[in-house]
Amino acid sequence: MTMLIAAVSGLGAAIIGFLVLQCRCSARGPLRALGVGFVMTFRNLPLVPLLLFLTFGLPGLWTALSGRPFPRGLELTLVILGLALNTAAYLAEIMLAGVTAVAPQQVAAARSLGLTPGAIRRCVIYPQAARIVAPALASRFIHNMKNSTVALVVPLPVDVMEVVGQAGRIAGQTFSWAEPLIFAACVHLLLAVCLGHVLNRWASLEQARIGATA
Amino acid sequence: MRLDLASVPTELPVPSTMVLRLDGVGKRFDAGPIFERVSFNLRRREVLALCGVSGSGKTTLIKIIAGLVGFDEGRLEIGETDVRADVRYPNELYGKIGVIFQDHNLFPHLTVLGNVTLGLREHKRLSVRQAKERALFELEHMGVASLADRYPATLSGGERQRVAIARALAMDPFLLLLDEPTANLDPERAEEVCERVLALAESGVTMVLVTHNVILARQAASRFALLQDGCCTVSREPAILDRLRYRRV
Repeated sequence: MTMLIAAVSGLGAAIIGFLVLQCRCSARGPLRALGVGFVMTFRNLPLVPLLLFLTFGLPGLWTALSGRPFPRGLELTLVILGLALNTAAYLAEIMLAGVTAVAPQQVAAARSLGLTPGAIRRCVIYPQAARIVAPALASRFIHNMKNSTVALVVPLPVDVMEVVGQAGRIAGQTFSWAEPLIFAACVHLLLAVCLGHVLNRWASLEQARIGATA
Repeated sequence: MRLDLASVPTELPVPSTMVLRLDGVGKRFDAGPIFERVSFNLRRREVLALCGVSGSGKTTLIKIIAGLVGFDEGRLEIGETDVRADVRYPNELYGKIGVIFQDHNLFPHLTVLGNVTLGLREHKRLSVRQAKERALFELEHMGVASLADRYPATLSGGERQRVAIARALAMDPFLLLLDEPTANLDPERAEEVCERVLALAESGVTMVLVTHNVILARQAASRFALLQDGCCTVSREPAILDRLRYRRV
């Protein structure tokens, strides 16, 4: 379940982060302001209150405003949404740093070949930016996976509880805290090391493939 | 891969006799004007060598002609398109003016072939096969077809510059702008690039050649422009280049 939460929230964060990047790079002032506002909000908002608001505050607001009960069984979705929103704010900033790091001469060369602004972004800027910020993105995805433990504060059903939550549940039943928590820590460590290795390996292989120095 | 050379166009399409006309073009930065009232014409198959000391605005002028930088006064005609100060180039004009940058600006994440086919696929909308054929023809022409699968970071300076020339020529430009193509190259690599530039000039490609290499300028160009102290003087006599004054530091 930890892997599922990390994967889905990571994917969601990447999509939301990319959309926020589009807003921040837009020529239209309101869109840029929207992008800045998103980052300001979700980067500065602590994750625990955000998750508590989404899982407790939002259903309460929904019921108060619509007069109908909030649909049941959405806790996990809301936890994933909270994680995705939080991580997306950081990913958008990392992506923006990558985009601005691409040399302007590259854009000039692409423009002189007759590429449209969209094609320049798609074919020249984003592929180069992705390689530049790959290590930072890898760190952020690992952080997102570790953040999934914060879902502990939300009373999720047993079958969708992540590994630290499961460890706490088992400890509550057996009155033995050490073994379940050591196991949960080992699971997190293993997943983080594997994910970091895969992403960094990809980045170094790409660098080697194009002949650039790492 | 075998090349079907018969299917590859070898003639550069030219819109009219007059390819380029600058009329009183001026550009200023915050610190003041970099040049003022630059005026010259360039006809089909002519090669103009543009010389001047570093900082005189040669690269800026090339970028203005390429539509990469705006200008503050005057008028510019590219082919049949009239561009005035503070007016953006029409999109269709990009891709028809080939630019070879001083530091080549190849895309590091693409192979040599990928660099040359990018504009063909995205601007000219050629199929992958057609783009590859066209690109390999130009690479062959520049003597770097064997490097098609290599990445720019693994090439020498001279090879990169030849790939950059192939990339620009593959787009069938009616005007080629070369910004110090032999800069940053050792004498041997510079010689290789000079030979290619001279061959292009002899084959009738219309060019503006920015260079500090007076010998190359004299050999390749039919007209000469000197950009100095904010003014541009144009002549058919190469002797004008003798007026070039390098500042002592």
